[in-house]
Amino acid sequence: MNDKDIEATIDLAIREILTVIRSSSTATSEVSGEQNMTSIETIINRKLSDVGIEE
Amino acid sequence: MKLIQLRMNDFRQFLGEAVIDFASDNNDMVTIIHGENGVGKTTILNAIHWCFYGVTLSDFEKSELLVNEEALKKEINTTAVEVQFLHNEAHFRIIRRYDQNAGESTVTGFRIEKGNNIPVNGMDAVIQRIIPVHMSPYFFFHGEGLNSLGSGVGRNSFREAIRAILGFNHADRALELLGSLKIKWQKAAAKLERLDAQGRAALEAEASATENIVAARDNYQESENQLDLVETRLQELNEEIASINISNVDKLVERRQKLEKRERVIPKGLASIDNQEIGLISKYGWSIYGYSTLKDSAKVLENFRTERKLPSEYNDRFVNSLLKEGVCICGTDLTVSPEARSKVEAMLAGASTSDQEDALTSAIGIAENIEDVSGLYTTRVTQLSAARQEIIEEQGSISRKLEEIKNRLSQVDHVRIAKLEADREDAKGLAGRLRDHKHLCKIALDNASKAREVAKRKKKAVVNEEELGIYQSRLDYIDRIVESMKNLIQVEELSARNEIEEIINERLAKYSRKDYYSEISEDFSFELKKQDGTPVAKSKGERALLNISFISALIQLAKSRCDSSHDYFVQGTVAPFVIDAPFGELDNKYRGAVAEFLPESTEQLIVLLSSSHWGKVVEDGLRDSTGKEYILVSESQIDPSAGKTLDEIVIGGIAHQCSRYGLPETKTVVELI
Repeated sequence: MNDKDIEATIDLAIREILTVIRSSSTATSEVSGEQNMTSIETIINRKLSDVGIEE
Repeated sequence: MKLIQLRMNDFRQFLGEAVIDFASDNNDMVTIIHGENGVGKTTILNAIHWCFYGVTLSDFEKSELLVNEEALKKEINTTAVEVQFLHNEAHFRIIRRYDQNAGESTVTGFRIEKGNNIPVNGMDAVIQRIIPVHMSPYFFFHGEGLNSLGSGVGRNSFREAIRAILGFNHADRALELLGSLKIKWQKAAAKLERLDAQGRAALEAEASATENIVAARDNYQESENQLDLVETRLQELNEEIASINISNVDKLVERRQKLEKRERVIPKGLASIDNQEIGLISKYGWSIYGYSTLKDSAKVLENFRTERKLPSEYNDRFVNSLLKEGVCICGTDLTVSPEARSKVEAMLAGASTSDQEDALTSAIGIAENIEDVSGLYTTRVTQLSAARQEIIEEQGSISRKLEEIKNRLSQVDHVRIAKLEADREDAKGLAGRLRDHKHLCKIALDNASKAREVAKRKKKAVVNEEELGIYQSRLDYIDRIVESMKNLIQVEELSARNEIEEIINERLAKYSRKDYYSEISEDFSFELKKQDGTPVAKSKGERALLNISFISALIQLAKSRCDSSHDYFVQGTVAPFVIDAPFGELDNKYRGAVAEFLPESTEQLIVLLSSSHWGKVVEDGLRDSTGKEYILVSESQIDPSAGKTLDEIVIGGIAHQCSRYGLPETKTVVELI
């Protein structure tokens, strides 16, 4: 596992996570914390998969 | 957010409807509302705050009395405030109503699309998401409270305000969720680790069992080899003894071999009987106890049934047949004797039913069945016992015959036979011990094999090192994300602090009489310093200038972040700056300075001013950006001849009257200039 590759995915993961949180809480709608956590879980698993850690 | 309109109905000084349209163009974004003390400037600030959050600001007196006094006299006990605003290009209406008698308020919200009002559920939550209530003091502001801000008081709330403006609340939420996810994964990993510990134990048990199997198999094989050798030797000895030409010796030897062969299978026969007995006990042993418990009860039940004590002396079919035929068993005609018929009918209550009879028969049947099983068990056990006895007797008979043959052979006076017989006895003893040893080796081998199977099953159920590894990677990854995100927040916070500090110091350099600069510490307290770094004891005016500079710099920062996209945190909260009496402690020069930089700092500015705050420098500073300007005129029923002086304010060189007397109602009127 290349550390530079992981570092790059971390940066992307942070952007994606913050995008999820931002878009989940607009003036007229709010997504539950449970749904947000599932989205974050998906993002992390996908990023780990990109570097060959997850299946 | 930009405010579009405020509409008040019977709210405090405002009788009936009062409407204020706010300037919201990018260039003409200042709304000035003039009003003398007590006519409703602070009421307007509080009307907006109350409409949004359901509470007035802390210094708004008698906040439970919101309905206009003149309206109350007309028995109108309710008031309402409506605010229309734009947020992210959507047009909203929020209306809050208050029933003063009940002391309850309700809020409704709409989104206006193409002139249609579309209801919005949870308008309170919508407002909280646009401008959280803890942010409101930085946007809906009472200038007289300026001196309480800054160093000491409210440091944390300043920090929170800055974090919210910068959009850190999203990052905070993300960190919170990452923390929850980490806990979830830690629990899953811990569970796997526990399972893995069991798995390692199972692996060790499997390895140990395999070693035992190998050792037991070697021992077993070794015993078998030795036994083969000994049995071969025994056979040789038998043949050698039989070859000696002495009368009957060969026959004796042959006979002995047959007996010994039979003797060797006797233990197997006894073991077989043991196993059969164990099987019988486990399968039918209960019937002995069951039968001994039930036999007396079954007998009693059967006797009761025979004697018709149970379930009853008579059954319902019999009683019904009597009723149907109309004749009692005693011959009484039931059709002519109602009394006799009633007695027979009463018998039905105590008569047995077919269900009861079936249940009794079934209970007796079960008891009899147990008796049968018990009998079968006893018979089989007796048979096995007899078989065992037979085998034991045969064993005794064989032993006696072998002893006899041995004696007869020993009587043959022949040195060679004696020697061969002695060797043979040794070999036979050794063979017996080897058979026992071989048997023990077989048991050890079986046990080790079973242990290995159990270990294998456990290992299969619990070992999942790969999955555990994935969880550990996830946890490491979350830690790195959290660390990176915290670093980003720290960098952004520092950058924001520096930016605010820079804005404040630009203003101080431009407007302060002295060569001072401001420094914001890590805990967000800020103070004025001389160029050599010595802290300065601020005058009231300097403190007010510094504080209003700080707040407007904060809003300017939010505005700049709304205008440009950001890599991580994008735009934060931004709202109109509604400020009541901002110039109280400022001298004329500083008033001009604030009037000049406030419009630069905000997207929308609403200033509430009394004539004492108004003057040329303020007007010069605000004029170019002003889109709407109102006067709050106080109307009163007081007789004009009572000697009251008329208030006036000069705006753009024209004098405007701020108070009127001798009118039918006392109220404040909003007039557009």
